[in-house]
Amino acid sequence: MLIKKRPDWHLPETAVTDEKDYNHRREFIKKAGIMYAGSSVAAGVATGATAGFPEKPNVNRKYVVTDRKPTPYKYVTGYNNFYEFTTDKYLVRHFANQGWKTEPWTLKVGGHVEKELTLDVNDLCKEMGIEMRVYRFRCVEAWSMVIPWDGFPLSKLIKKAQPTSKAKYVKFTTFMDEKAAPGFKRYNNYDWPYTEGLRLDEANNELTFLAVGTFGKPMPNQNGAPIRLVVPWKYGFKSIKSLVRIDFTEEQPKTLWNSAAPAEYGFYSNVNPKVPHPRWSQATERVIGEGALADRIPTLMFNGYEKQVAALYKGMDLVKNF
Amino acid sequence: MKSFYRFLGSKYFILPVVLTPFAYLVWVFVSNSNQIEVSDTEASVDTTIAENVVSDPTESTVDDLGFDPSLFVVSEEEHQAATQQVEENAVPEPVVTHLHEKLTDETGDIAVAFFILVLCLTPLKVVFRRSKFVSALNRHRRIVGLACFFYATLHLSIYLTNGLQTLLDELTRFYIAAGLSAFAILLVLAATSSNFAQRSMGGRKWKKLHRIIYLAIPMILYHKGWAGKADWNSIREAFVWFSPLFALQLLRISKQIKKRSVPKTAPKA
Repeated sequence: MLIKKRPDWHLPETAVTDEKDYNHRREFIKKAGIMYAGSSVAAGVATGATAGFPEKPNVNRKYVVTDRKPTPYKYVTGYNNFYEFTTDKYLVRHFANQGWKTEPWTLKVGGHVEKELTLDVNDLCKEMGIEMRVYRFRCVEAWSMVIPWDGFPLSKLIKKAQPTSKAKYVKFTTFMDEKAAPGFKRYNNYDWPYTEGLRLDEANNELTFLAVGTFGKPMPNQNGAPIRLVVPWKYGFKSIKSLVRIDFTEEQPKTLWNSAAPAEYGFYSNVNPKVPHPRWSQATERVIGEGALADRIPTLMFNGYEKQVAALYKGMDLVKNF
Repeated sequence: MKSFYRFLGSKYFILPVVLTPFAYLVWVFVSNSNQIEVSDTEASVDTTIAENVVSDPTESTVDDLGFDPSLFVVSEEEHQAATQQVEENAVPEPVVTHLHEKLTDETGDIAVAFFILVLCLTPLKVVFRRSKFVSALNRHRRIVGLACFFYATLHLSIYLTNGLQTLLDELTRFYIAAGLSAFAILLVLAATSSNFAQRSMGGRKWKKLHRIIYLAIPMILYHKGWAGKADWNSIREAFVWFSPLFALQLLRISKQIKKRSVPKTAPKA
């Protein structure tokens, strides 16, 4: 990953970089001052779920990426997408920590289940127990990180909720609070709130994870406090942040990105180097935190989790079901 | 006031204007190039660690994982720093995570800015016929156009550092084709920008040729607006950039139509 020569399969940067991100950065740097100049922000620390965190991270070695080092914390918490706050990856951290309350937080589980659940996230952490897994994270914009997540497998929660035989899909919904996050109004062309979906067998896969923290600490607001989904073999946008609802459905749920651009973001969105995005190749990725001129590395099928998930898509045309 | 306009029309004004962006690019490069250095010893240690790791799901402590366990956890201070409420007006320092993408973006933006500027100059002159300010600025059309070409060349060169194969792969993407065609137009116009070319072609023919710049407007608009995520926000942004140009050109056209529709029998002054 630290090779310096530039091979031919290099992706063009125009294909990956959001020009608007850079452009909006300037706009935001100017506006950030104006927007928040009036609101005095109380000093203090905004954290996610704090209870139930083990003293020492309880690493599940079965799920630790060993061929790449974890991405430095400052990049994990300082460079990501969270359109509810801003489309600028560098400024998410700023906008998500302007007094947005993520504790206490309730998560509702409903739809086709034996019993509907209303859960307090802190209680849930204590009940489920927290383990650490180190997963690859691949954004659809062709950048990637390696992140230690603290949480528990989604299958544990599904078992608790007892979906009925009608449940075929799982629909995830994030928070929607226009006062807490400026993006809902600013980017009102999207179908808020952010929703995502998985097939029930995908949701029950051993890898599918509900994360309540990173790097042994409660989830920072900007990374989707207090509880978020992590689906490591799919593009990052499938890993919905700040969950408020999980519903079991019979029909394939509508998802925000699929509704916004159906030709570009499919329901499955599995990481697949052979299926390019309509506007850029997915064959390689740029590693965040490796230095400003670091080389791109090849993207792996199912983001390197082929062994665990390939069976889910047996006989499926992955080009058609992208 | 006269000397002010003279200054405005002189190279002492325009050269810093067209060169400042270049200084900015150099600054971006220099201030981020320290991130390039990755020590080789670190790299070799890294691979040996990866080879030594034995995955055993029954073990669940970090101690014998092979990695430095501190990589998986952060201190309370680091966590607080990453999650604390940011002070009023304080904006975190943007981290440049990939220098040549940043440079491609910046050179592209600068080239588009000069493109819009040069195309605003002529209509400004038509609309504000008597403004000395405008006519002083209009002396710089050639150099502004050449500046646009210069930054566009930088933009294309940095893009090409990814390898020629990329270009061949990407040609089918319409925004790449649009950008490349616009560059071809700029190249022709830059090559024929000298006094010599102007003279040898003949003014009328030269002017006709140089009108193909208007073809580049939709190309560059598309190239800029659709090159990112091409969602509504980036498209809107491209239109905002081009709005002064569109407004001025419309004004100019309406003015010229009005002028033409003045009855021919009108008494001459």
